[in-house]
Amino acid sequence: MKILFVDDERDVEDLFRQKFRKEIKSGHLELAFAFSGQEALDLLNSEDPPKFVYVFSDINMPGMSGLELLEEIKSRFPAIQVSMISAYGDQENYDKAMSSGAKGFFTKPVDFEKLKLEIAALTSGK
Amino acid sequence: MKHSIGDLRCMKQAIAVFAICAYLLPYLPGHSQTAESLKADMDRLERVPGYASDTAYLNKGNELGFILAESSPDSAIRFLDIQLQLCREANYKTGEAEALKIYGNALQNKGDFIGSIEYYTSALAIAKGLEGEVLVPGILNNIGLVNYNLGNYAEALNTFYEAIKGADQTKNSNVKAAALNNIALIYFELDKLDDAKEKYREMLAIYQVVGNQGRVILAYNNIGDVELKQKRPMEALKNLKIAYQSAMELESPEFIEMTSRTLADIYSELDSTEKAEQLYLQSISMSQANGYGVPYAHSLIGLAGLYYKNGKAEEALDLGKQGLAQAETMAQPMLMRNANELLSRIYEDQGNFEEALKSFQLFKSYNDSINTSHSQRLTASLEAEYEFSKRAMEYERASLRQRWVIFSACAGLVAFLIVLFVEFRNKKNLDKAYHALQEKTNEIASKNEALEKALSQLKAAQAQLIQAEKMASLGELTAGIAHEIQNPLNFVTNFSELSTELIQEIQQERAKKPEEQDPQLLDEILSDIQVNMGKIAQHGKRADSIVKGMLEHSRASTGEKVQTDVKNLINECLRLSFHGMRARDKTFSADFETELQADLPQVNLVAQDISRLLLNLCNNAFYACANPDFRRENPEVKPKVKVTAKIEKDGKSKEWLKISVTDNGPGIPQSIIGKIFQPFFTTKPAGHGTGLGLSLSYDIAKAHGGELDVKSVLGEFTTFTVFLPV
Repeated sequence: MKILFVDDERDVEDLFRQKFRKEIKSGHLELAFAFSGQEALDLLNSEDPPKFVYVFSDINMPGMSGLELLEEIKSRFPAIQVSMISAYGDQENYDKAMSSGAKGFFTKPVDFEKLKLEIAALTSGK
Repeated sequence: MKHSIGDLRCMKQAIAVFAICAYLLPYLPGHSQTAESLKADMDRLERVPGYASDTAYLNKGNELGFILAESSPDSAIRFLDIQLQLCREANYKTGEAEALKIYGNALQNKGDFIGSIEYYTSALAIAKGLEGEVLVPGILNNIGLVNYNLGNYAEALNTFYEAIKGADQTKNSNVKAAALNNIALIYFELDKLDDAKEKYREMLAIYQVVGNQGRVILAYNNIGDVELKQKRPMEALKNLKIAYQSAMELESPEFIEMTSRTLADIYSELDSTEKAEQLYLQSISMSQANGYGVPYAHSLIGLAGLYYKNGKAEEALDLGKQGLAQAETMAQPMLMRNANELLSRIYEDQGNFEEALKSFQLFKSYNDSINTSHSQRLTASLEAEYEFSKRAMEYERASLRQRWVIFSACAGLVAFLIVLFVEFRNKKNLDKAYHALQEKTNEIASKNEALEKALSQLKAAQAQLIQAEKMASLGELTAGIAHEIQNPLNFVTNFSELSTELIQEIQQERAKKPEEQDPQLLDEILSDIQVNMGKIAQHGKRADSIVKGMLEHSRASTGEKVQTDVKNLINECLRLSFHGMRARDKTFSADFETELQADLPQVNLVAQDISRLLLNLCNNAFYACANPDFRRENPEVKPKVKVTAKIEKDGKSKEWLKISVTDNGPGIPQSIIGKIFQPFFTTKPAGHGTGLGLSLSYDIAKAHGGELDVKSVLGEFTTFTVFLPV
């Protein structure tokens, strides 16, 4: 199962790869990282249909924001699940995200247990 | 009938003056004592032994001599010979001088003018030796009269003026008035009517003060006579009415006759025939009764002229003949001339040409003689006047000199006082000016103080504004800062937690039997832990840097320049600004990029100030990009802020750090681009900007010896470029 993380903070990659090391090792998860909305879209467009089933995106990014990316993905690849991970856990962002079709809304610092449960639910559900 | 010069003596009277000490004995009627009573007094005094040296007795003698001189000159001369002798024996100088003068009077009355001058001269010599010279003016007046009688007008005028001068000095107003009258008489005869009138007026004024009624009447009469000759009969009438009235009050036949005669002349001139006739008749009867010879002739001829004018030829002829006879008796050439002229006309009218011719020849001869003597006198008097005016001028000059000395002294004193006054005023003015100046100085000082206070208040206000601006921009940044701190903090937390997990994994691994252990995994985990520790440190420092930056930003500038990593500074500012904007405006989205020279050196600058400058520029750039109107109108344009930094050399090989902040927003209209660096200029809605951002940025650039420029194309871009010396 292929998951895409979008964040302009590059260290996010190191963090998540270590966090999901076991899952990656076991082959349950395949992680990909993009550092801007545009990069994420480029990546998703590189395969047809994309193998990614889940996209986790930051909201606050230069250029295309996470919410814009959400709309783009939802319009192009409605099958792909998208959840937001934001430092700004305010109602406005939440409402915007949920109305745009986000599956979940996670606040930073990320609660990895919840995140793992979300991913686990996804795999088990499949 | 017209008056002419010759008939004056009958109506005007020369006045002689006789004075004993301060006592004036008038020449005209009204003597205080008669000759008889004087003789009686003297007889009484003669009974006292040594009476001959008694001045009272000698004075009485002189009084008697004066009366005798007028009434019987020959007996007066005999009496005065003795009187003189007595005075000399008594060594009574005043009496002697008086006696000599009266002697002169007697001789004058006898017609011995030369003799009278001798006696007057002797009297004058003695009088001048006496203290006060009180007798001098009177004697001079009498000498003047002799000269006048001799037709020697020049000498006469001279002497009369001398007399006036003396009278002024001795304050003898009677002598002065007499001399004035005599001068006026001469002026009248010389046809100088204005001068004559002026002198009569002076005389009138004196007699009015003295209270001599007879002389006042004479003055009015004479003034009127002058006015008649000036062809001003109405004015003359006015004066004569006063004179006539006064004469009637005085009941003096002499003055009544005189004034009625002059009045008759005036009425004749005015063609008031009846009044003139009546007055002439009155004059004639009074003259006849009192034996006034000349007035009698004058009025007869005057009445004859009046009758002739009114066609009464017979009466005129009769009166004219009588008048002529009387004039011949009195030896009055002017009257004889006038009578003959009148008679020649009457004879001519009657066809008696023989008589007419005779009369005319007589008229002609008198006329010529009068004119000759008149012109001679005129010439003489002109010379005299010249001489006199010269003397008068000398006198004036002398007195002027004296006056000048007094005047100079006074002027000196006045000048001194003026100088004192001016000095005083100057001093006062100076004091005033000084005080005014001091007040001004104080005022200026207090104003200065107020201004300094205002200035310091302004400076404080400015500092507060700057601080407020800082705080405002800090507030704007808060969200950005929060985000920028939150992110590294998250990493710190995450990596440390992760590391703990990894250590637990290692422990689990080591708890296994050695043969089951995966040494590769252990290596991997250890390597990860090491990387994580590095990440923790890195993000810790990142947060630290942001907090420090924030603190620096909010603190007042120390102005201290430090070697600064420009790249870091730019990145921090740009991210802070971006996240700040993002945090405040959820709909905001913009891209940003940097194009920083790879080998950008560290630059010596006040990081705190430059970061403020860059934050301002970045905030403005993002704000411009996010402009909702522009976004709506240009949906295809992706908002983007680009920051470039590099080192550039100018024409003088000087190195500059050039940082540009460019946005692709709506651009700045040309109309306001000149104002954007002005304090308090803002395009943001009220409450959203202080209007100080760019102004302070500009000041910061300048304070670094740098520049802040702006370039903008409407609808395309805006670039702010700061140049800082390296």
